[in-house]
Amino acid sequence: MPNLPQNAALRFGENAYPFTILAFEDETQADRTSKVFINPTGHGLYLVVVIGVLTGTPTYRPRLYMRSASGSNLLLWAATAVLSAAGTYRYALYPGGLAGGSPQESVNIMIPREFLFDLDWVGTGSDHADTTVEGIPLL
Amino acid sequence: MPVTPKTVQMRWNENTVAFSLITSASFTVDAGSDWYVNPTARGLILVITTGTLTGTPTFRPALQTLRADMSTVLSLWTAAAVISTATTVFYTIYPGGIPGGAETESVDIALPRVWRLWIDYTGTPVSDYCSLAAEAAYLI
Repeated sequence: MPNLPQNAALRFGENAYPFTILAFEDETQADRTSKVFINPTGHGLYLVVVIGVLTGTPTYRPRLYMRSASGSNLLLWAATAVLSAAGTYRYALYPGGLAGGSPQESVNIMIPREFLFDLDWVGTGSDHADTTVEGIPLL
Repeated sequence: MPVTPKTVQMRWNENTVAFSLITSASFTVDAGSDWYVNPTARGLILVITTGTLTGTPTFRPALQTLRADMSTVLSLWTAAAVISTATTVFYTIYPGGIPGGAETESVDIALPRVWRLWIDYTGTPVSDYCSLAAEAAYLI
């Protein structure tokens, strides 16, 4: 299980480097689910979703989950709108929200210790696009 | 090519004194500061000072970060208004915004680990220019 911070030199309570949640995938035609990440001391993060090279009319919706004590995934947040066009989208997930800089969505939420994301794909047949999801931790 | 950010000398979880980001006697291009590593601050005060103007240059500050490849630039904020006079202005950058002072703009963003200042310049370089200095102080 990968941990955050991923840099061994990081000290407790320190901003972590940006990290990959879902690596670049060519022609995403199914839901994608990340590994479980550990967030020791961060309050939130910028979630970056990159959509490219659309074929057909796929849609993608990022969602945040908490790993529960029983090992199941509890849905904490689902993006208000689906992504259906190529672009780089930044979501601000932070207590109180972070509306500055016009994020795709400002979400008043905290990131718990064990979290994961998925990218919900909706489409039929040959509806697909290239997808990447990254995180930028915030104290 | 991934960039190597620089770290301002700071002790653990400590506010910093202001440090210089950009010093230019004649600012005539779009340009950024070095990339910085922010270990423990949530925001900063950004100060921009422009000198006597020749012509009609304008300057618009922005903050940028890097994506996971430590190479692809991601814009976090662009100032609502350009600077077009000889002046000293400051911006407060902090989660929730902190608009209680005389700042030009209070920006509701959190400062990530890796960041830099970017200045968009408009004008004709040979005739529109002035000195420009930028500095920042971390806020924990």
